[in-house]
Amino acid sequence: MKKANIKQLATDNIVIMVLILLVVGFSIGNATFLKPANVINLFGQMCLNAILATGLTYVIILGGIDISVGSAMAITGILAAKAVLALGAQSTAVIIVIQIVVGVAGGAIIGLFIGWLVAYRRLVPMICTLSLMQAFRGLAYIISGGGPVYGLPNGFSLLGAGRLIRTESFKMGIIPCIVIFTIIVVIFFHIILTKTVFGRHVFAVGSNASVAHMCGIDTKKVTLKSHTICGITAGLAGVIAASKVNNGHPASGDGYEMFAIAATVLGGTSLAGGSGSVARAMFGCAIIAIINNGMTLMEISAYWQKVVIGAIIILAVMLDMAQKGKSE
Amino acid sequence: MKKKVLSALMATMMVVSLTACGSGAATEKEDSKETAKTEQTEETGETKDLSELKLAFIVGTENDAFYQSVQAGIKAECEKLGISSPTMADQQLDGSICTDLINNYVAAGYDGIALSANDPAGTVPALQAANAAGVKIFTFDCTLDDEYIDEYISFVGSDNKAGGVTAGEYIAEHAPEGSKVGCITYASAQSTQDRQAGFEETIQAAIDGGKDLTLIESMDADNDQSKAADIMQNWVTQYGDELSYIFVVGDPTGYGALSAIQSAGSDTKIVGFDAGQTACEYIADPEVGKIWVAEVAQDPEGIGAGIVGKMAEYFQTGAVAGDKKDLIECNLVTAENVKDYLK
Repeated sequence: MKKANIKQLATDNIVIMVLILLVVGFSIGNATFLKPANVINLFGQMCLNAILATGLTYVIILGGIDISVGSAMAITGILAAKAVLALGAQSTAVIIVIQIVVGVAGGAIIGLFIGWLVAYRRLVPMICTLSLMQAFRGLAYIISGGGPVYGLPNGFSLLGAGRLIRTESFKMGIIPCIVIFTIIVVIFFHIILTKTVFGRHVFAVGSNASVAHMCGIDTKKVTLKSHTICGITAGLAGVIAASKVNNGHPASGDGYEMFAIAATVLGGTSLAGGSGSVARAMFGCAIIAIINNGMTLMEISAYWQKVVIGAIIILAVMLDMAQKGKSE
Repeated sequence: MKKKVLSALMATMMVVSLTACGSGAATEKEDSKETAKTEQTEETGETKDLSELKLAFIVGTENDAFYQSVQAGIKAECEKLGISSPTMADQQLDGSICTDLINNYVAAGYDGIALSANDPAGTVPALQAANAAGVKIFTFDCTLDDEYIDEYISFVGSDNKAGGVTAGEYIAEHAPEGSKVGCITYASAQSTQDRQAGFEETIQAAIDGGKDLTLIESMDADNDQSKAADIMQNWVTQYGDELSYIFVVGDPTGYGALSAIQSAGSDTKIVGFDAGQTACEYIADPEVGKIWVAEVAQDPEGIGAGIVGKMAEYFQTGAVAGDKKDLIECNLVTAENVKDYLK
């Protein structure tokens, strides 16, 4: 009986098993991997993807998609950098307020626009956001004038690159601010999805939009709100990415949508809609970050890294689908 | 059945609309050229031949400071020589898009096309077709492999490999004995691959020559700052201050590496490539200059002006004198000479 329970647990959480395997594999393969400093790095390196995946989980549960998040990142990153320069902000607190306001407001406007197109103009999400991915990238280059927006005060990099609690062995600090920020964002949106009426509506619309509509749910409004949330997280990720490298760059976030979608799906969120979880998407983010980090430490050639990361994602999703197929 | 008919109809419509767009743009271009031509002839008279030329210039990507400067050089030189409204195009670092552009210009009856062959092998078939149609081909920045040297008339560009060697020599000279050095690269472009190769070969030669250095495996940051920052952070964690120097194949990669070095408080130094204004300001900065110590400088405006000069020479005299490949030297920018590069 006990044996069966363990087996059941393992098969139910195949993604977590893959994660454990990777950790064991890399710690055997490389001495640095499990060192505290590297573990801290790892948490920091999965943050951008984690913030993106948080909002994407909402639209993917709806059965939709948003592939313009990477380009949206570039826009808010540049806007935040420009805003800080234009307002001449010097104090770190003011800068952080500007960053968060620009990230949330800029992201919300972008998300509202996408939500309006998808919900009220009935555009297919894939085509809609594919076009906007191009348009936003172009806008990012236009706003920035083609090059990086730089010369920012040091406070700008606190959220993305700063660390708290300095000790003898960790002169630059132990806890990355980006991790604290990400945890707040993830918990906030996880609670909204699991504990609120709106959250239940998202699942209901994703499972069967017609039934949800007949039950009196305003499906259009739910779609609009979900895309707005996705926009906000993309906006915040953009600001954090700019903060991480202390400049706003129009090429920022290029290709990030694919990793964020992969992380979300690895976390068990179904592309067909109706089921998913923000918290579980974090396991997906961890897998991707660990593969990237571990392979760099082991000096695996850059060409192979691309092959391996693609193969592991396909494998994990296949295993996950096979398990779900069985349980159904 | 209905669906099939519908989809076939849709496909036809799409094709028709595409061709319509294409030819529409071409005619428009032609019109503007026509008016420009007459104006030019009236004004300059003696350079009539040049003003009648239809030339297209295809850069790697308009989203990059380097190619923006190349375009500026092209435009300025064209204006100087009286070449009216040259067509500027962007292949978005994609050989397939480049091929389409070349085919369009051949169909539109251009006299000459100059391109940066960022995907050398991928553009060869289109260039062969262009040559067969009598369109003259020139390359700049990136060129074709030597087996296809007959496919173009002239090449002007930086010696990317020599630039990598310059960076390698600087690092081999300055890196302390017993330390490690590495390269954050961009593996998807010929030019950056050449820089990486030049650097790696030079370091390897120094090691073979008795210098006690370790060359760690080069990593690809996909020209993405944040990825470069992550790679650098991992390296700093693994090697600490043992990693004395890194070579980055382009400025954006350098910005990412710089932020990781700064936030880790590490002693690793950066040698970059491109010498964009941002990088030069970093070298000149008393604080950042301690980390970002040198840059390999190309002369993008010189490359742009150079290729226009070659084209003008060819269309006026029927040949281009001198070497087929005009390689412009890369210079090393350090704190001592950075003033010359600041605008």
